[in-house]
Amino acid sequence: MARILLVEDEDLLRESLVLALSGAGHSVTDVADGQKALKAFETAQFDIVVTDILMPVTDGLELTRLLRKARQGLYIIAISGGGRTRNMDMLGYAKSFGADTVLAKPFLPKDLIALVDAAAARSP
Amino acid sequence: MALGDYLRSLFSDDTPDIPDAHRDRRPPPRPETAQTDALLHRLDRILWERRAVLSGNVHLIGMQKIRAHVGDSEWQRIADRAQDVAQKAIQRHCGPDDIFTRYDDLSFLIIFSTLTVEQAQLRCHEIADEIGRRLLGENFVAEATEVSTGVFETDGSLLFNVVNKKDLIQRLTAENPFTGQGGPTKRAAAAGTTPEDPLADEELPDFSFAQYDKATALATIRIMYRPMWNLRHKAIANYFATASGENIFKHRITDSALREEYSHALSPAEFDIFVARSALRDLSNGIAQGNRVLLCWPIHFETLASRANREAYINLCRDIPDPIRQLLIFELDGLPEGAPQSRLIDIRSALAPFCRNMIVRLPPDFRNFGQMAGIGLGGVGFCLSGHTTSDEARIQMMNDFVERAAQVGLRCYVHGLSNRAQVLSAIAAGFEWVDGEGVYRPSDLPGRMLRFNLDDLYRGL
Repeated sequence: MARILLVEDEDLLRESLVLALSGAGHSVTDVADGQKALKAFETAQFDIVVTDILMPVTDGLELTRLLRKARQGLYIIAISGGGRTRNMDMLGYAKSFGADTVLAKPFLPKDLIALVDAAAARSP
Repeated sequence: MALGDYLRSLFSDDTPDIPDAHRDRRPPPRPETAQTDALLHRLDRILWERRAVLSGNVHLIGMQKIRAHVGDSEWQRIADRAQDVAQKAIQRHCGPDDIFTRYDDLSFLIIFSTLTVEQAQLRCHEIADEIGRRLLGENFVAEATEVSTGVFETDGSLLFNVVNKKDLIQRLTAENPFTGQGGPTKRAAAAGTTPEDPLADEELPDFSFAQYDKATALATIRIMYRPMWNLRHKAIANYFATASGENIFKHRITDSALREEYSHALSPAEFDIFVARSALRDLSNGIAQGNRVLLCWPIHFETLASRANREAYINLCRDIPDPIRQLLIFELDGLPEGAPQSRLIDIRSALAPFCRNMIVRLPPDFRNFGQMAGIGLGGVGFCLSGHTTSDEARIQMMNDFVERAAQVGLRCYVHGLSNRAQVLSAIAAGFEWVDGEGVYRPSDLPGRMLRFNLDDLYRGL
């Protein structure tokens, strides 16, 4: 079981991903933006962060960069629907900012669970 | 007399139909006699037309939070000016059958004749935000000005409940969505209410006074240059010249807010010519130092509307050397709603010899993009700052704007992005140029051409 912080501003998607990841046996804490995610790190430990990129207040790229600087061992999965536009590949930037893997929306819950399970298996 | 009693006495069921009789029964005059008379005159009209004034139709806009923000002593200094700003903002949003009056030093009372309660509350919030933006400038925060609606209780007393904008929008969206029907101003226009009310102009006392004379106003304007990020080329190659100054509260205001603040001293044409001359001087100095960049500046529609102003502006443009013209982008601002495409084509043709391209700044809820298509515009855009309350709503606004513009093949830009989250959302929405504090800080002079990508945006984290 991995301790997962899920950062996603779309309520419905966040709730459904919480259900899917919990159902797969993981412990999930969910927040709606990057600022709340940084707060959550002050009071709890996490093994994996699943973060959206396009979010209000503090976006996923900023969160990824800050977390990677502060927590080298953390596994970060970046997800986004608007992440690959004609002018900018934000998912590509997420990787260069420190995300371990990226997942473009739309995706099936099982795709995310597979990534999370693989990351959890790699944890010491 | 309490406000509730005051209103109840005006709207009581036994009010005679004859205006003269009604006048005999009204309460003793309040200190603001000129405005109160105007209010009563209009109330007479409404009552004479047998329109019921129902619970929920009476709204208050209060500036208490602004007073608290600036402090009592500062408020004493600028109270008259603040009331003037508020009154003009209200006047702009009211139709011929709407009535309003100053209730006390901090509050205005408004009754809309045709809007539903929720529409009226939304209109009040638009007015309140406009007042907040004008008075607080860049220190503006959403709902700096409070909106309340009067509700008659069963015991006959009148209570004012504060109306939260976010809740109101959620309620409107859930119960009676206006999506696709334009903003409330347009809805009111469709309902036959327009801000053109000669009677209102006649009756309203003029509170305006000149804060600055022309020379002082010009001396206080500072031209700043906002780097515009070209997302397609991943570079900053274009700087937007924006006028910056202070309002009477000593808060920094820019662009159209400054133009309006100084309107008593400077006509739109004088303002635009000053900005253009200053920007040309700075661009020329920059080129002399090897900084060859594109420069964009705003031109208000009113500057080009009258022949005299237009000729003055065109004469200025004729003095611009050819090599400089290739570096200039003109942004048309203040285009009136419903302006015909032929007018735009005229303006485009008149300015085309003097610039590389022309772009048009529009309201964020603009819909008639068809009239913008096919006339050779470089792009259309809007300014995000101060328009709504939350990042979520701003993001939605950006998505909607690009989606509508893209349907007719227009490229889009957005000014005033204040944080990185907004910048990312603008990129995802499909804007091609973005600017604001969230992208890059403005400078006193047009800067250099820079390669700029997301790494640069997040540098320093």
